[in-house]
Amino acid sequence: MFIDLNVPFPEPIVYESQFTPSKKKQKQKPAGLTNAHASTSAMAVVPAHPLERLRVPDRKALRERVEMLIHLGYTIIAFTQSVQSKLDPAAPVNWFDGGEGTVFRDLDPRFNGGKRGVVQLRRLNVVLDEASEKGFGFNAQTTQLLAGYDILSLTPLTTSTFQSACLQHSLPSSSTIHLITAPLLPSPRLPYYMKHTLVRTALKNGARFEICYAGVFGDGARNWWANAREVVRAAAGGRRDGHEGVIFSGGAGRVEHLRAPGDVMNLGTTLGLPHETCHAAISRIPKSLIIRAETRRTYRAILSEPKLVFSAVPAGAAEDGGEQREDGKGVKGLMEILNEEEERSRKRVLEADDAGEGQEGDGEESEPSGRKRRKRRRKNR
Amino acid sequence: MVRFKNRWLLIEFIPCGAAQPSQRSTTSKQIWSELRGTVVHNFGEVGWGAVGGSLNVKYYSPVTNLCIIRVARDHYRTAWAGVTLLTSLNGETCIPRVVHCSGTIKQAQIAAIKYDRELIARMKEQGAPDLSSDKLDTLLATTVAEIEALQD
Repeated sequence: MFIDLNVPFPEPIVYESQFTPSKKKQKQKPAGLTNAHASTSAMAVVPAHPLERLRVPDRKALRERVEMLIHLGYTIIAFTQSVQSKLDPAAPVNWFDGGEGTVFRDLDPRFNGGKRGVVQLRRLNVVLDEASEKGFGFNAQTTQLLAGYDILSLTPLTTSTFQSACLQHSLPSSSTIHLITAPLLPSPRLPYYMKHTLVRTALKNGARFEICYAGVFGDGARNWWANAREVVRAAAGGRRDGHEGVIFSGGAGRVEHLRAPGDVMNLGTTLGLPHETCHAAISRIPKSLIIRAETRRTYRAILSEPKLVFSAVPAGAAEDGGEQREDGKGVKGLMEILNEEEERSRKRVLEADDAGEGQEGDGEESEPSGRKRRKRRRKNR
Repeated sequence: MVRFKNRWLLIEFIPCGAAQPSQRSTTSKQIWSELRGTVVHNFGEVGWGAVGGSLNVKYYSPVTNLCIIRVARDHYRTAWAGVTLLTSLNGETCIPRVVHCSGTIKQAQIAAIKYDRELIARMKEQGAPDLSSDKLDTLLATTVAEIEALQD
């Protein structure tokens, strides 16, 4: 199982009527004239599906990118909506609204009946600069909006925002961030020193630091190598957390900048990480991060709303239960997929083992168990 | 004394962007020089010095875009990273992907033949415009024969 938690989502077309959300409408009754104007004009209708809000070439390119990710062997990806400095206070827009938890329904094994595809999650990334030092819109008013994302992340550009990202925003709440991305490209040094106490607090709270490999193909590749090494040193160099503070992700806006998981792991080893950590940084660590991100829906990451499941139910009630599960697609659906995938890969390994032995053990008489045969072969050697 | 140890990388160059059948045919020599270019660009003369002595393009098929290279085991990760950082081959953008990495040519051949079968089966399924299924069968036979003929 390989996971790419950063697939940039192209910016959708801005529709006028998106700026007058239903809540505001009631408040701004005096300004009803503009509202009426908007509703009468034909182009004010916002398409329901996130893909229909994109420009046509963007849509095609995005699909091509997702298909390439599937071909390269990824099983889970997260589309990223990037926001500069703060959420729009007047009318924050979730780019993935109306997608029912995914984007390409026919390419998502949660929805297409278990066919080949890739699980698509939604992620919000806020780039924090000086303008966002006094808050960037993660508060009680936006909780509803933030609940529409599977993962939240921050890209701090200044020392004070980095500090608040590590100390305050990684604490368990309904707007916990689980990924901190350092700006690797713009300058030969990171804009702040990654202080050990801050990094340690963030890691202890369950946040992880992200390295996007697409930077190596740009102009600032030199900066990328230096800064990525710095992130690795700060977040994966300590002994306490077992070197596991870093995840690798794509961040590739173009198809040709995507790389297969094995190649990304190898790039990780050139950054000075041990190879098993590199493997974990693209599979196990992001997986546990996704599961941890589900705790945003619970109270302080501890208490969740219990669901009663009855073992023997009449037919009518069973249908109800099914509907409920589709509603609460969060934890259960994803967890099932994750477990199934693991099971499948284990089976694949076993089958490969069996096949290999079948070929090699041709000369021998058939033995009941493969393990015996393997032992004997080892002895012969 | 220990014998000289190698790594064999099976690489697929996935073409992307404008998918036109290439007019200019890429040869293994060109791949070698492209690899030298990226390794020198990203790892400098020292990197190329570590890798270049043993780097050898053993096989390349322009139809299936499969390639087998050999490098000395000590610094094969440098060569691999060089492959990953390649963005275009002979002027065409592509995604290099290391499909398999092994210590002997035998395993590289087995993996190559297996992957070659998959690729040609996929071509058949998608119905390549200029290749009928008979042609694809002969293509499979020739590529398998070529891969099997590889020697250390």
